[in-house]
Amino acid sequence: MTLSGGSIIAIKYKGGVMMTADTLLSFGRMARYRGFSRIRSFGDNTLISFTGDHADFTTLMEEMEKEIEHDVQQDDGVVLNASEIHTLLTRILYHHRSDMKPKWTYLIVAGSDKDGKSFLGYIDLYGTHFECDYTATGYAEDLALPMIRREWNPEITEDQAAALLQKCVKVCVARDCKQSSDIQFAKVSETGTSLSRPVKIDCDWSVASYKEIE
Amino acid sequence: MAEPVKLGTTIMSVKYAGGVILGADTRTSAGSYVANRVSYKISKLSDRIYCCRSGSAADTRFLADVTKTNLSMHSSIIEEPPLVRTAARLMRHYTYAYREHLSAGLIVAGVDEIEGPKVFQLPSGGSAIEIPVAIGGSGSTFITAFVDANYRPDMNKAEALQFVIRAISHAMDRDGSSGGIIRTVVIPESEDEEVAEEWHKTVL
Repeated sequence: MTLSGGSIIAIKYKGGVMMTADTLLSFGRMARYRGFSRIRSFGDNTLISFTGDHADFTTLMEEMEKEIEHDVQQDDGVVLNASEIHTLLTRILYHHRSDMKPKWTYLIVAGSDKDGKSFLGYIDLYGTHFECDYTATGYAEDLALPMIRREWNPEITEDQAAALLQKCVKVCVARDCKQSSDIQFAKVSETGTSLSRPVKIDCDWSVASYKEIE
Repeated sequence: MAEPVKLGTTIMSVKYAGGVILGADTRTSAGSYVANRVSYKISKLSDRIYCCRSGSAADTRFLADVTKTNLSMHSSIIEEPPLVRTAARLMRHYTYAYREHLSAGLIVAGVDEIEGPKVFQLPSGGSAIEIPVAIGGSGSTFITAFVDANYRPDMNKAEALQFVIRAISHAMDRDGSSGGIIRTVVIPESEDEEVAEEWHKTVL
């Protein structure tokens, strides 16, 4: 049993990428640490979040920061963008997998460059990696992706994206044991990254008065 | 292979000055999936005796049904409302005989004319003990100290109800296997007052 993070959902909208994650680190079935932001922002143009082992994620971020530090020290005016960070993380994860010591994490990398071109990519503990318009990790893969597939289109606005994510998160809060109801929303666009304060998402409980079979 | 359906849970029952209150969360899980987020974990055994169920949803449902039936037959024979002690005894007969096969932690609580308000805890293993306040299920571990520090035997109905709702709210806050809303059943000692079955949102 180790400290772990839950689901993430991320979708592209017209102008950027939006991501949502709860603020909980679980220890087995116990909700151990609340109010913890699982979405990390890098530079002004990249967001990374994780499902899975927290210790492994922390180590991955440390390894990545070393690489970014080398890049910054080149001082050539060019910094790693989200797509390059995605590739870098893929290589690191695949390397650990090939040593039979995987970093047990499922990552989502989201970013936007100065031209407004959005990036969204997925990486898992095996080094499986792909780019996509929308994705999710953890339980949200089963609960949220079907809803997104029905409603997403490339012209979706920021407000529509936020509403769609709210809908998906409500289902996750209702149906995932390890999901907390304090949710953080984050977005990245050509103007930079922004992370919201945690918001409490509640379900509709009107179904509570149903009649059981005697 | 499908995950078994369990009542990873928080259940409790307290005796107050004038009756008993039973409380439970409403989350039924199959692995990490919430199969039912509004389930009923408090079952009626007789008019004034109810039980809280934790463990396997199937096992405890069976135990409650068979105890209800046996209790009803017994009550017809003696031509009196049954004792809470009898309900606990009848249930314990099964939880002890089949202890290797069952996964069930139960609380039986109610009122009767002879012994008044009573709470019995039947932990897995097949024993039965009578105590003034009982907590059970996976979420109970998180509120053991809270209950120890805050229970008072002289609470009135309103205080006892708030105590139960607060305790279960705290357990639900920490236990991934507990969640949803809080169902309560208030069983007053006086015949003039009705048994009240309600549900409440968490106070946290």
